[in-house]
Amino acid sequence: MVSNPMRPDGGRRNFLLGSAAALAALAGLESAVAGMRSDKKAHVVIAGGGAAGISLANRLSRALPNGKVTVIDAREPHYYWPGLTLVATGLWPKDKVLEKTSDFMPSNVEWVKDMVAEFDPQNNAVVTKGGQKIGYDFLVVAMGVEYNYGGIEGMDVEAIGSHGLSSVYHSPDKAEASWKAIQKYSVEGGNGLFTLPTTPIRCAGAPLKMTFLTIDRLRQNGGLSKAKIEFHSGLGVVFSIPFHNDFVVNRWKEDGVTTKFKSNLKKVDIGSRKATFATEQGDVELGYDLLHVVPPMRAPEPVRKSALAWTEGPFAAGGWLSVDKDTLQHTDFPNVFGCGDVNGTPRGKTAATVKLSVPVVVANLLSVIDGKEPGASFNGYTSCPLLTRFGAAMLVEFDYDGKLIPTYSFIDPKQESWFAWVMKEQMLKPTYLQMLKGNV
Amino acid sequence: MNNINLAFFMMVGWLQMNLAVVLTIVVLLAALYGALLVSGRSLFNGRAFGRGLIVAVIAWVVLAAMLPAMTGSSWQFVSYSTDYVMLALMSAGLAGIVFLAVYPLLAMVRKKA
Repeated sequence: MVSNPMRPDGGRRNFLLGSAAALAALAGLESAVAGMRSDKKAHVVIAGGGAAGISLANRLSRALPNGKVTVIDAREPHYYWPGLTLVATGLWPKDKVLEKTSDFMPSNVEWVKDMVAEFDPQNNAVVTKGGQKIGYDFLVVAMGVEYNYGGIEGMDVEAIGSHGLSSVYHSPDKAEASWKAIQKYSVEGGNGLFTLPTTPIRCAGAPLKMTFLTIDRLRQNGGLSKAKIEFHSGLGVVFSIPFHNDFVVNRWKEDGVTTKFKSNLKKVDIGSRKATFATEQGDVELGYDLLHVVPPMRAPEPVRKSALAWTEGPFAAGGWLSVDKDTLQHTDFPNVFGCGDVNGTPRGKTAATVKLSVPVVVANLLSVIDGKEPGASFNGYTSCPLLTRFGAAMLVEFDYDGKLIPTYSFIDPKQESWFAWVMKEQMLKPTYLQMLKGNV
Repeated sequence: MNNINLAFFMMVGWLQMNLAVVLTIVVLLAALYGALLVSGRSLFNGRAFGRGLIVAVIAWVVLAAMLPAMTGSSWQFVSYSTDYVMLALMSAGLAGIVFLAVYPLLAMVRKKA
């Protein structure tokens, strides 16, 4: 399987690796990883071809010139998830978030257009839905999240866009349909209910952005004076960073939005436009003219039902991937790593998390291929460009501990600003596409 | 270094996403400077340079005033030092393109010596 350690091969490679080490010390992991290589003939399987899977495939295909990289994912369309809030609030057309996986998949990787159905980590193999058994030396699980709309009684995703029902998360189609419901509401007003579930979710800022931007649409289209908005959080907060949690709740208060805590959407009656929330005082039923549903989320079924999932602790209920939060290496199977939303780690399920965790996984994977212990550590970096108005945002970047860690020190994460808006609206998608290519 | 790398690829990505606009500007500039060379006038013209700079400074001020609206925002949200500095830099970049486009025109307007 693996016979040689990752090692320099001649003067040029010595120079490259030496440079990489120097860069690692000087500049950080991302730049250093770009120069890392292994001559091993290891076979790495990447389960999942989303943002993390493609980015890993691009970096590993360069880092393992003699190895083999296999990506397993049947999906051809690639969605730019961070743009869906802008589609669902009418700023971007749907086409702007649609990409093709094939445009980013490196030519020298094997792309198996099937889905992983089963993991067999004891035997270093995965089984696909099509029945294909694929063996590996090393595995990276990057299968994202599963939206559990079925966890809300009566919820029907086909009704999104009608009956005042909206949900930014499902897909670009449903984000576009959500805009129709929100547009109507922004003119007519009425009772607007926004939700946040108790589970870990992808892009925890999205439910807040949807609320802020709907308020702005109400302001623009004349419905604000006729609107009564409530935000129902299943948790005790709306955002995990105290400063920004307080900022959001206070701003909403100024805008006339009531925030309800420990109030979790459990049932919806789409026909009669009624939503039922589980609260500490019992179930509460509310009528609505607009309901924005954020589904509970969990790990995809093949992960949940495998030996790779957490069996205890806070991430066991969702069946999230059991990885060490620093090295992103599996807690039981050292030849398995996790990357992206599927990881059972605190806080981050964003594209920004993918951007900084991919180099960590690549560095540690190369170390393990080399027969060494993983040395790179992920700090939990995640980012939320919190849109507060059309034209204003706060660029919030933080780590596992909730410590604010702005990439550029001149961008104040506590300041609503025009430049943060420009970053979100103009610059983040180009950065995301460069991330897919393994450049950042 | 990571931050420089990130900024570089952010700009590369932005240029790629706006390739049609970028190519249009490049073709326009190539046509203007080609016309200047074909006209037999000198590529270096101090008077046109000075006048071009004046036009660029005016464009800088106008673009700075317009840029928030051009980006789907407004002056209401230009709120702190980073916003002002970035606004100045971005509009200066655009004013630079205006200068590059105006300079050959001004140089061609001047009578041949």
